[in-house]
Amino acid sequence: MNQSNIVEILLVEDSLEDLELTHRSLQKANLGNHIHTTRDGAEALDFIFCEGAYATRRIEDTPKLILLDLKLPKVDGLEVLQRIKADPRTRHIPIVMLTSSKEQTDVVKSYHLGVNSYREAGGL
Amino acid sequence: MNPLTLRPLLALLPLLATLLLQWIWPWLQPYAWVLVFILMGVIFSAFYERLRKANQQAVESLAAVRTINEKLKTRVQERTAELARSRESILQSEERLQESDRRLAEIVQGMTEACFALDNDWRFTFVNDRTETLLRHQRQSMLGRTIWETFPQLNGTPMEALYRRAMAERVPVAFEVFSPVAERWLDIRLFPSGDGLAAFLLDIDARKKVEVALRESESRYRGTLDTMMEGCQIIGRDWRYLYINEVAAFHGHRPAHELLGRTMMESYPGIETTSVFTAMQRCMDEQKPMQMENAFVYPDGTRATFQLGIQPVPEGVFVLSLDITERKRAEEKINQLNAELEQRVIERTAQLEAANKELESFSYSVSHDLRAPLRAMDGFSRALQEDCSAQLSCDGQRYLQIIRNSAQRMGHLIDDLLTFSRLSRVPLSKRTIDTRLLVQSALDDLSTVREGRQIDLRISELPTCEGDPALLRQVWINLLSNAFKYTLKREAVVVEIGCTVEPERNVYFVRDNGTGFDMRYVHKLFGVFQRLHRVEDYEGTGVGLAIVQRIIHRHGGAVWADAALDQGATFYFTLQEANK
Repeated sequence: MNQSNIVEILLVEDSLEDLELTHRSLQKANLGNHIHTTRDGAEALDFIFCEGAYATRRIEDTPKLILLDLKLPKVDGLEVLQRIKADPRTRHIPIVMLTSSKEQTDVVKSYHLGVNSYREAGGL
Repeated sequence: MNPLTLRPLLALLPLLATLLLQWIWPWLQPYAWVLVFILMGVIFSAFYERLRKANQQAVESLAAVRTINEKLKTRVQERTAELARSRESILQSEERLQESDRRLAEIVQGMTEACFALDNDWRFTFVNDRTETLLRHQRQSMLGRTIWETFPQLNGTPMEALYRRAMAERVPVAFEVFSPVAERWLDIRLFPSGDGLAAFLLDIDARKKVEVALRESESRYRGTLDTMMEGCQIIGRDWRYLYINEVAAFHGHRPAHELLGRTMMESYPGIETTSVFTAMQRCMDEQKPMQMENAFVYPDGTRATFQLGIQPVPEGVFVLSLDITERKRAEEKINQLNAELEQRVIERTAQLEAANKELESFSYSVSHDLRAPLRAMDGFSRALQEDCSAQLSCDGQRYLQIIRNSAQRMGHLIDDLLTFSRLSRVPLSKRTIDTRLLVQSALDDLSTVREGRQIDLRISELPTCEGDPALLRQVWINLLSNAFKYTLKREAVVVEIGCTVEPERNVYFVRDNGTGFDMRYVHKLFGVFQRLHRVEDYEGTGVGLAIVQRIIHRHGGAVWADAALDQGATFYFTLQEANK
């Protein structure tokens, strides 16, 4: 995992299988070099807002894209999305939701909260 | 014949004799002497008779005078005796009168009423003992002085006017007054006496205070009754309205002045046939309070319902009425709503039963039909591993393993989901459970999990409880398996099982010294498929605690957790204690 300042993509995914498939897809698209992975919503928020284990990061070094699983341990994907879009320092970051959920309410909520795209997990 | 009546005749005798002699004398002359003798005999006879009668009359008169004298003498003697007796009596009366005066003076002196006398110059001429104490003045300081000098505080008061009226008009005057002299309430009675006044003063302070207190009390009660939200009536034994407050008058749609003094039968003809009247009569006769609800129809056809409390009182009955028309309407509406609700519950229950049947059918499909493709995935992956592993790269072989793991994991997820779903539908079969045995049974089930591990298992006393043994066994299995799972990385593992007894409920707990969790995410702990740990660290589907919560909630209990990261966790749940 790359924790340098030049994180291009933040991948938030708890399933190891989905993680591997997403990585594989990104690598095939030559986007695999600057990916940082967090395994739950709480860790993702710590990374983005430079808290906890990521307190030494600078908030200005925002990822260029966030791939966010909808269903995450501790803090779920919708809450992470809401927090990012509510903060003027981070709301500009494009976010793509990754999920196997085809629930219309999840899709509507995500777009309502400002998500930029919606993709099936592992199937980028 | 009375001799006095003969006197004129006797005077005429010489004339008659002369006339007789002159006329008849010639013929009578020869017989003159004879005639003279006859005449003289007649005259003497007449005189004699007259004298005899006069004598007799005189004798009779004398006898009568004697009789009268005798009578007079007797009467004089009687009268003298009478006078003597009368004098005696007068003397005795005087003595009695003096005695009576003395007694009267003693009585007046010793009276409980204060008594004094004033002359027409307002000077005290008599003062009894009680006057001294009541008016707080010595007798000597009052006698001879005027009432106005002695008690200047009376000047200009209404009392002074009343004293002056009694004196001037010579009439009795009585009044009750708070005396500035005695500083008490007095009943004062003034009577004209001789040319002055007699005064009688009775101390009525205590009675007056009681009266004032009673009046205040009555006023307070009347005020309370007048302003009560409930209608209040007092009906006499002759069925006359003795008291009606405004609310009661409003309830009856009749002003109080129309009812007061009239009987109920006059005011509401036909009331004697109603249940209210019967209740009042029973209350009067049996002296027992009565409660009832009464629907009243007014002459204009509108209806009202009252809650009536009928109490026996010395005058008759006291009726307290509360207008519950609105409450009754609300109750009717509630009853109607309840009926509708019951109907809806019946309909919903039917819908739910239908939905349950559908769900059962769905679950059957899930457990059988969804497993078929999973079995194919797992089975053919295994076939590839067994038959074609030589043609596969390392990555290929790893991918195949991932496919197999995922298929198996999905099998577990389906199983757990079905278990969770079934828990909501199976009926509870409650009985008294020996918790110690139940825990032991769960531990036996988990023996393979504990195999080869050093676990310090501390089991405290576990009281019996009420519940479904099969479901509660699942609770203990899930909590204990979690405790064993999250202590895997500990060297010295301690798992405690215990209970604290609270009123009406037992609080059971399972405590471990495992990895614990961050309490910030405790609200997610009991959600379906919610996990606070990575699957590669601690495997699981995230359904176990959701199952625990559902079972405990179905038993009417509560479940909660307390933990800290790397410092272990404690899970608590409550159950109703076993019936004693």
